[in-house]
Amino acid sequence: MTEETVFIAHLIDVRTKEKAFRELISLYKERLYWHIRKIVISHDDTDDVLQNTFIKIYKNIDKFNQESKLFSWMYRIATNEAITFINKRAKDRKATVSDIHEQLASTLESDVYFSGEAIQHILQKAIATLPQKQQLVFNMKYFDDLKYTEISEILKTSVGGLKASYFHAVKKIENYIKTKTD
Amino acid sequence: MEEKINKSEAFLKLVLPKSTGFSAPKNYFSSAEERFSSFLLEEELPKENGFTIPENYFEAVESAIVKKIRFKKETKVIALKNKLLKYIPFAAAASIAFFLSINYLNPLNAKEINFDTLGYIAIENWIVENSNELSNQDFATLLNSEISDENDFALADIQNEEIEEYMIYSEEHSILNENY
Repeated sequence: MTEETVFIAHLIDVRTKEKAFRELISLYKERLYWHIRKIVISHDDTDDVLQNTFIKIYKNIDKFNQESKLFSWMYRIATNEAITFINKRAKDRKATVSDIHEQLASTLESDVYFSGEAIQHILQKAIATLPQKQQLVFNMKYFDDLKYTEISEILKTSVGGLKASYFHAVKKIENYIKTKTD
Repeated sequence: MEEKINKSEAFLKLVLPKSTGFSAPKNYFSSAEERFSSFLLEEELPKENGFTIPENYFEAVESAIVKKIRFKKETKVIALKNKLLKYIPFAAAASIAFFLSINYLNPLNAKEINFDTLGYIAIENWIVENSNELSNQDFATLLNSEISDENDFALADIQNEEIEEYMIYSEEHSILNENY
């Protein structure tokens, strides 16, 4: 039994699940937070989505089949929760998902929890112009340094497809930044 | 493609810091375990609310409702078209009546009616038929309006000849008796 398998067993066992769950939060809270934050942008929304992510993990841990790593499975849940959040907001505001991403990026100037420089703000605006899939791939590859194989496991997409997405993403961002900084 | 990716990445790394620029509130992560596991307390709460209902309540309530529905008289649906058609003859009759009243009953068109235009017999008949409703007061009022001056009755204006003539032809002989 690997260490991860034992940990998962503790998460499922009624007698140990609460303690194990607290440990799981400690281990992954920051990584999942920053992953969600890059999608939903605002801290408060990230906090809500992260809470929902942990609840989903807790309630579905017994259905986790261990075909992928626990970390990838949790990352997938967090991604789905964040995308669901954005889609819901777009529906509520009768706007497109792309409009919502651009609106969120434009709020950064007044966000107390954004301390980036002008160029970082331009980068966020550039990311907001990308299709959702390219945004995810770019954030995971560029900022989180995840390997294509890991991203493939999380997003359930082929490595070839991910490489193409990443290529289009970096090219568009490069052009956007060049246009804005010239 | 790899080469192009590397070239673009190199440009981004040159102009951009590796961080996103996002920050989180101070001590946000230190209290994360408590907050993100708080829903576990809700899990421990009993799902049942403790309320109970009488035995077979829902079966009884169902039959009671069905019974009420069955005996409720079905509301008759009247089509608006039929309703309108039903009132068309009345509307036509009302229009004709209105036309006639305008042309024949209008006071402006009516001839002036006064005592001169009425026959004496008609007036007598009316008085006989309505005598119960007429009081002495009514007659007095009528007379007062006719008598504009009390001097109309002044004896001075009555000629002696006229008095004599009245006394001769009067059937009331008692007035000739001085002792009366």
